Amino acid sequence: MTQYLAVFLDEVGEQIQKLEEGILALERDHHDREVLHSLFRAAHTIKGSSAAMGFERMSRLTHGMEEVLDRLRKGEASVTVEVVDLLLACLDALKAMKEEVIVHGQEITDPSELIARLERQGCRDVPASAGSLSTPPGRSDQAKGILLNEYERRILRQAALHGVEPYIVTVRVVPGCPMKGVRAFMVTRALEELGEVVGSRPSAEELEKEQFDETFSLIVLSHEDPDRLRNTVASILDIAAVDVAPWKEEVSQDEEGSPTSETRISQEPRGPSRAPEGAQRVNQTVRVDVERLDELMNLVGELVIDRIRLTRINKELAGRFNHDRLIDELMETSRHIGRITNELQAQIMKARMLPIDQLFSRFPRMVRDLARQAGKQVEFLMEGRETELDRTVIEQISDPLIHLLRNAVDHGIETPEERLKAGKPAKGVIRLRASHEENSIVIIVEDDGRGIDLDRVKAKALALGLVSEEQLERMSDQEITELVFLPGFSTAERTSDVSGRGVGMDIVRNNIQAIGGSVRIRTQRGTGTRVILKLPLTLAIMRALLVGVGEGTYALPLGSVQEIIRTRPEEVHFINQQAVILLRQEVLPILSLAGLLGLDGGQLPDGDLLCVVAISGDSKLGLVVDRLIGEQEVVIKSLGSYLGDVPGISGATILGDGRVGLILDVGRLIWMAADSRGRERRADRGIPHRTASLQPSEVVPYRVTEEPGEREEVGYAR
Amino acid sequence: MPGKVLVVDDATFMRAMIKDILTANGYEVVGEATNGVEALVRYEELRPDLVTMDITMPEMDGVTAVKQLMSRYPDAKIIMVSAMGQQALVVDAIQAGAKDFVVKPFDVNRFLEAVRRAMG
Amino acid sequence: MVSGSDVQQKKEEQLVAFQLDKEIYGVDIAMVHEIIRMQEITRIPRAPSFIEGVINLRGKVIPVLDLRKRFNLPNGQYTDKTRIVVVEIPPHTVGLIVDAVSEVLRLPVEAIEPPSPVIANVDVEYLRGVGKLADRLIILLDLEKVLTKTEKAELAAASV
Repeated sequence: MTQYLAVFLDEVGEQIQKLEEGILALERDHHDREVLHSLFRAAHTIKGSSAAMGFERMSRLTHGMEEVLDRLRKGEASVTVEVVDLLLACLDALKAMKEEVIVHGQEITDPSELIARLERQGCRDVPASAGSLSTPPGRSDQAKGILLNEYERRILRQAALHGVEPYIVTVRVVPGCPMKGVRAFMVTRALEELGEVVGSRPSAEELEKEQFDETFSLIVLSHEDPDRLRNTVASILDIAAVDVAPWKEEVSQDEEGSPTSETRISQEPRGPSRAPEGAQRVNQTVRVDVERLDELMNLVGELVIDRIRLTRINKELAGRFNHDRLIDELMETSRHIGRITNELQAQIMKARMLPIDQLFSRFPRMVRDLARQAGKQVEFLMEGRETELDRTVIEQISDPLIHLLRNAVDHGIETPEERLKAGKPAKGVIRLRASHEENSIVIIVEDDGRGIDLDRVKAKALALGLVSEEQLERMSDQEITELVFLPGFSTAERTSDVSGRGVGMDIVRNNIQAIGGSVRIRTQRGTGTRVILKLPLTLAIMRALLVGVGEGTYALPLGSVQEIIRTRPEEVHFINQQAVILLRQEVLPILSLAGLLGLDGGQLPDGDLLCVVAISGDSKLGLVVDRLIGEQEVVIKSLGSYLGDVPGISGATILGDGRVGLILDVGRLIWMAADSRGRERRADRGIPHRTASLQPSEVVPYRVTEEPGEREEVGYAR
Repeated sequence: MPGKVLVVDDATFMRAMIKDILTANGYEVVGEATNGVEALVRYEELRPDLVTMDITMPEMDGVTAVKQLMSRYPDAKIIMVSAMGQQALVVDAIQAGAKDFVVKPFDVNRFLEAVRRAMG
Repeated sequence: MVSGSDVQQKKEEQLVAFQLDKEIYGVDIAMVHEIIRMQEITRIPRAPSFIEGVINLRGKVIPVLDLRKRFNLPNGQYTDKTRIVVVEIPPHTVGLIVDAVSEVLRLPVEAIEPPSPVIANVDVEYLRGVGKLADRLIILLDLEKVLTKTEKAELAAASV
């Protein structure tokens, strides 16, 4: 229960606020029905949640308030100055109790005198016990006099509709039973194996703290017959007697007007997308400890794994015994679990989401200061601040965005004089935009500055020995632009400050790729530069394509997979010993994934090739795999500190059969592919992507050797 | 009903006592261990029908040992031998799969009843 | 990690003893997290040869080392006695593949002697000492060195 304390206190705070506003409004207008209704609901909400949390004094007090308010709103009593004073006194006591709960973990203020005064206001004298709380007076359920709260009643009703029997199981332990709380726990556990325990009297916490004599009751939903339940419980040590009685709902008259929506809603997830259920309900928010969300996410991760496993077992069973009714039912159930798990995952994901404004909001000031330092005039515009993404992603992109904005101010935007000379307004514009795009978030940093000077990029890349003259000749403008991402390029940039752009661009790309995103640059001389970041929505779970290589299973982030193609041997050509295929007029180098990972010599298999077209930024590579296993959600796990950085592998995941699968780092693999051909730090780390007709002389493929013209076009050969 | 029992307790006295009770009632105590890790190794080696497991022990406590035993041998039958005031740990152990518990100082008949039920 | 001085202070050491090739080795019981059966291991591309791969330890992915390969002992076959001893040497959790886990031993500190090169086929720098128990010799491993010594270099080399 303690884990709900923060949520509880938040909620009580809100309700106290409502009470305060309401009582003051009531003081001004004694006849405002609306106010009375809202006061009643606030008192009722506190009553329900404080009882659930075990804050008995608070719940007794609010119960008394509720009774008085109920009579007032029904017109059975009238509002007087005296009543208002009493309510204000109760309010003060509630505030004090709330503080006491925060400081001491329990209430200290004794509400007895106030409760007595409330009762003297002419209310029925119904002391609230934990069990009857949030159950309107007069409503009871026949079995053993147990009073169910609205939440339990709702579940039982729902269950009854689905043909699941509700039972009240009453258990007595032997006198002097040691650790009777643990016995009660064992009883609960045993019953949970036969059905679902939806509530207990006393509460689960009280049971655990052994706050009962010898008897306790559990509210159980089960398909099993009563005898089975009875025998199961009776077989536990130290149990003296068991009674199992079916539960039936009494027809209740005051269903209408029973303000149950608050208590109910407080039990439900409050995703931002969820519409408030009661028309009068104001959207409530709670603060949740971030670590708790992570824990929840981990648990859901485990659930996702189990769900996948369940599906697999199911398939296997279905294959072994087709058309068995039980298997169909299992299938149905596991599908249902699948849906629920998806929903749960989506809800927790949502709870983890933060508006990107959390990050963006610090930029206007930063850009202003940078511009002032650099003597530039900059108008900074932001769009899509409300775009939500996973908080871990937000943390990871903070530094890259700062780099990019700094670059835009320092190197992108010209001085006012330069701009005027170029026929532009003196004031430059930097735009930061965030938006949703399918399963990812796109962030664009754009300036209307001078653009990247490709000639200077070329000169510098040559000077640094990153590329050869002849390589440059073959490169497209886009490829030349991307040279700024090369590690050597930016490092040198910092000291020499030669060309337009470059501080830490390699770091930007690394950071973004590390979280499964991509970076692209579009630039036009004199007009400006646009950097486009594409980011995953979350880092905890991702959709992946599972492929088999040898005995291993590897996961490719779906965002890095363009398509899957099957290629006949005669479609494979060799250019400088590099196998390539032509894909929609584009030359695509292909490599065996096994070879790239160093699992074998890298020779392509015989026969048709199964090829995953992997993409990172503007680079593409055809990865030849042995098997396609399918698309799946995978939970991302770390390989741990001992192994450290494993080239081409970004993490691991647990597969449906319990084995470990490795998650491929596509950006790194493409880089390794280039590297493995002995072209260290090659300029066109990206594979040329521009279109070419299949006239090998024009093709600028993924070159294998430095010697020009050594083309082989031998078709498919091993 | 005879059966092979592994007695896990760091106190020599407790091991001796439990062993005596079990032996006198037709059970065979096939091994003893004084901590959780030893219990794991002994279990592996002896494959007993039942384990009596103390909770507070050096190196690896009884609850952790239950978790690890159950993860490898889901059929393992374990009874926790708890001191007073260890409710929460007993609950953990049962959640992890322990069949039952007794509280020290325990009644011999109650202990035997727990053993009998756990083995059945 | 038990250093020499810690050993002096204790009267006896508790060890998990396991078999590797022809010898019995012992590691401090406090470092042993658990002992599990051999299971399917996922190979890690381009990892050093003694890193057998990774396993799923109840949802956690941990690396597994083959101690025979680590110590350059002749390669053995995995049998149903083969075990993975999961050890925790913060910040690492790793599994060590051994031929068999024999028992938990108590070794009086007087019975522990400094390692000597003639005792084992294992490089002396991985050893913490040699224990004599009755007529048996127990080779005490210095796990921290087993894990970290030269690995950093080898791991780094592998990732280039």
